[in-house]
Amino acid sequence: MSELVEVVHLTKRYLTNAALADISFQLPEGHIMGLLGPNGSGKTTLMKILGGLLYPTSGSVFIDGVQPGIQTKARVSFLPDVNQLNRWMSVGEAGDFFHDFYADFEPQRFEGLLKVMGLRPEQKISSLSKGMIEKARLSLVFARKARLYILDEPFGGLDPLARRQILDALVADFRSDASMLVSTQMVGEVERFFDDVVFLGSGSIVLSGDAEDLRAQRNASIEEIYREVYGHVETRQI
Amino acid sequence: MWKLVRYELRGRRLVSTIGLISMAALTLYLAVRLMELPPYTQGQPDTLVSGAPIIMAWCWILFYLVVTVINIFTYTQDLYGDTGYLVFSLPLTGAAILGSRLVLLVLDTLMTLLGGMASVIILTLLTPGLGSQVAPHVGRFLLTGDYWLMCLGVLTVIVSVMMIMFFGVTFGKTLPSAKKHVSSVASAVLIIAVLLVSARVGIALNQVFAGWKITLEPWSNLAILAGPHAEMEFPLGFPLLFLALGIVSFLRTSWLMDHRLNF
Repeated sequence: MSELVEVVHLTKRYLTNAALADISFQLPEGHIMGLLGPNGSGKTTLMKILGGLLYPTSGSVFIDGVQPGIQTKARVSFLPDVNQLNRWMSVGEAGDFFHDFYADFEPQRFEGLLKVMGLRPEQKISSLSKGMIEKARLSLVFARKARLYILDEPFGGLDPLARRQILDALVADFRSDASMLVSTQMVGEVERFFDDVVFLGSGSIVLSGDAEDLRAQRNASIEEIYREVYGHVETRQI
Repeated sequence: MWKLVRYELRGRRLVSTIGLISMAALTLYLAVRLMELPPYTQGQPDTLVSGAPIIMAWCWILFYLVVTVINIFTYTQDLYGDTGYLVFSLPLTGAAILGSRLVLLVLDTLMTLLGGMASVIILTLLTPGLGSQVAPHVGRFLLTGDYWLMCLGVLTVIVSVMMIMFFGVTFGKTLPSAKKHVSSVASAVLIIAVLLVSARVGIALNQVFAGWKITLEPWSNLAILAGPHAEMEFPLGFPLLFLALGIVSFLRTSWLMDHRLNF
């Protein structure tokens, strides 16, 4: 199995702090990786670098053997943690936009996903609730036949029932030649899909490995391991 | 790039339509008022009858200012706001993204220029007593090469100044600071500095090349309206300087987008 993502000694510094410090990991093809950590641990920074939206201070990143740039943007389907869609667009127009710019966008798949999500193409983005916008964004991202899916806090606006249904639908259809990197605070609900996990803390990797191995080694679920790893941080924040 | 232009135009269709309908309605209103007024006489003090075309010209300038602010706001929103994820995640080069903004700027400027000219000419022709005097000159004026070259020069300066602004805003976004206000201040300082230096260099160049007479006479065929201003010359030095600055700003901004953007 080949490595789709390779991150080597990656560092991202701002003027006064290091958002990421010497991060290294690999994501094999066909794997779903959970990127976990409290707020400010560097998850979004790492995802932006992989998405080609942020440039690293040092170290290197390879997606399918290529450094992030125009080439990788055509292969990476990125879901940011905020609503990136223009408010004037309708759901259908957003689909047309993706279809125009991404060669791997599949309109029929998009239509199918909209049906699963209970959305109609003529609905305006400005008229949708937070949860509905989240569904539209997920439909757009997964209507692409991308090599890598990067999802930054993807299920925030969804109710638990919709979350479960959508997750099951998306993962059941997941291709073996693609990989997914997901950051989420809803560890308990999503962890059953993780093949690998990376725990970030203050810009560094605190713990990483095969999800099943970690569960077996510690005799605990990923959510319990999360509490164990970050418990002191959460207590201090309170 | 053209697809992006199409989407930007689609996003602004409502605002553009409202703006253009308002300007057309204002032209129509002034035209109706003009037709009810007594004829214009030479040397008449400023009244609606003598000033309607000028009022309309100022309204178009105001219209253009609003359009320009919308352009800057949209660009800044894309760099600093959430919609930027949509634009900068696209597999497009910085030059293509910036090029789409450039095309929009040119379209806006042409729309304002042609709309403004049409309004002013219509109102002038409808002004009682003035229309009959001006009408024979309109055709010749519209064929004045220097006038159109001046329009091209003005377009170049405006678009280049906007490119310098885009460069400043983009530069702010490439700084190694996560703080938005630091980027904003840096952008503003850079834009002001570039514009000030450009103005000084432009004046200096005009003096250096004073003997070359690189000027236009755009009003030479409209002596009836321009009067003593008919001989007023338009210096070509500034548009040429700004053309160079615009090209440098475009190249530098697209490079920053491709290599240094800190989204």
